[in-house]
Amino acid sequence: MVMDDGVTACLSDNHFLMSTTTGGAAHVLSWLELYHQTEWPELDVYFTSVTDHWATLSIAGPNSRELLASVCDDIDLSADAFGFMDWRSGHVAGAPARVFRISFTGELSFEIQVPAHYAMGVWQALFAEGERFDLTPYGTETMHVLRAEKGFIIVGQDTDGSVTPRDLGMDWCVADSKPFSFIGKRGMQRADCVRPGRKQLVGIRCTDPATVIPEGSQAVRDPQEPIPMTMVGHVTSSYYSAFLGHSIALALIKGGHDAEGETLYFPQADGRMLAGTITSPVFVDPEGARNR
Amino acid sequence: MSETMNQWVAAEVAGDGSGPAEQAAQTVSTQTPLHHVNFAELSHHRTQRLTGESARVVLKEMPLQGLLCLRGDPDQISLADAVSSVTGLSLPQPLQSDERDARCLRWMAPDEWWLSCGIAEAFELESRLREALSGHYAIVNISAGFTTLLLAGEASRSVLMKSTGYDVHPRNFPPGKVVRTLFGKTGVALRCLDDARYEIIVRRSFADYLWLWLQAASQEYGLRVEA
Repeated sequence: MVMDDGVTACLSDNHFLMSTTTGGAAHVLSWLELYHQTEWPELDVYFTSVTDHWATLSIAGPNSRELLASVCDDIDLSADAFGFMDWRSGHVAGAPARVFRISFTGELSFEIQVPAHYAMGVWQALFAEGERFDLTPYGTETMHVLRAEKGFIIVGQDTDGSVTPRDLGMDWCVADSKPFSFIGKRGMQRADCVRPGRKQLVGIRCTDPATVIPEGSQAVRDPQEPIPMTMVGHVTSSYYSAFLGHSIALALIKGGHDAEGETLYFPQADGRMLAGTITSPVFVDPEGARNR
Repeated sequence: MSETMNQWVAAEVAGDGSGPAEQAAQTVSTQTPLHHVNFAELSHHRTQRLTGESARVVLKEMPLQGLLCLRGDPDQISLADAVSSVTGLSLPQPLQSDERDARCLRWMAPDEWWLSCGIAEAFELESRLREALSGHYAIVNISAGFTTLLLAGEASRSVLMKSTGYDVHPRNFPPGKVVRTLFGKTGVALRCLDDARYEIIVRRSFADYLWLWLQAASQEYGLRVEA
């Protein structure tokens, strides 16, 4: 079951930097220590929390490469030299930095990581240079909308501890080609985890583009069914997308991956019956062109 | 061994300043975790002038310092030798520390020590330790993740007694002893410096909480802040 997600960077042969979902670092560290002590005590490895040591500033958008270049002259930022999911070491606004080309927004994005005592100085330098790009700070609410437009999950919001990577359409991140086993390999093959009809992550387009289906709304297939109605899933994330001009939602729906185009109904406590169509969870730029 | 991350903070080594990146870094602003409190201004505030002389608790946020987390097997003679040859400090016994000049080595756990030093020499010390150490060890620079507070004054131990369940009486908590314990609702590393001076190391994200806590806990004794 998915319990967390994050990016791990290989810093050298025996050195890795792990990030987790927001607030998840201590939990993941506990599991690492537990497995080290109980399952693999023979492995020589140490874990150190660096959550507070690093400040990470993310710049996103079509001008992000140009902005970064104006405060960083010792990293080749060109697309050929600095691929997606790579990291580089250098200086940003004079501060020693690691720059990661990763994106939670779906936009061309660079995450600048500096020791936290440099963070405000780097922030201010970025905004001084960024004025000509109309650089604007964005907060978690905006980030939530941007990632949902791309179908990126938030652990704990789109998952609840009962969801596998396959349910999320994220088989691509499970490496079956590994020469050794890994935690979850057998578990994910349990009969209950591969049976048809499991709740699967899909997108939902409300039939009324201006209506945002409330998160947590239960889905039913037959709006006329007498109570108790058969619930087939629920809405996990739901927003109005200013970029698209209509509402979007993510939902976990039984058999959802095979039901694209189907209409579902979401009865509300106030008596309204909302309707939505199952779509791909990727609403914006499915080709990923904006990230190049 | 010089891995990519070791080019860190080359610019922070005082006296180099040769390349443009190094020169730029020396002018990059830095902020301690309690920068927003503005202790310098607060220490001159009129209420400080009124109560300062009678205050029985004194608080100061120390300047940024280097902090390296060292992990290794204490039974390895080579570990202790390497540490002492590079730092001039002995690998302390459980709950002890060794201090000389601006460097201090603290026992934190059976296989963990924290080395503090001037921020300008953190990179060099880490590099020299890596050259001297071998086998299974880890050194992680955690400097920016913590702040160090100095709590002093004749009522400083009373503030500790209100804040932690740990027995801070001098017979149990003499100078040099260092413990990680619960303080308010956060964890800290607490070191006794002398009878009325204590060092509190707290995570950056809990620093403001601790500052608020210490203000409340010190109020009845009078608090003077220094910068």
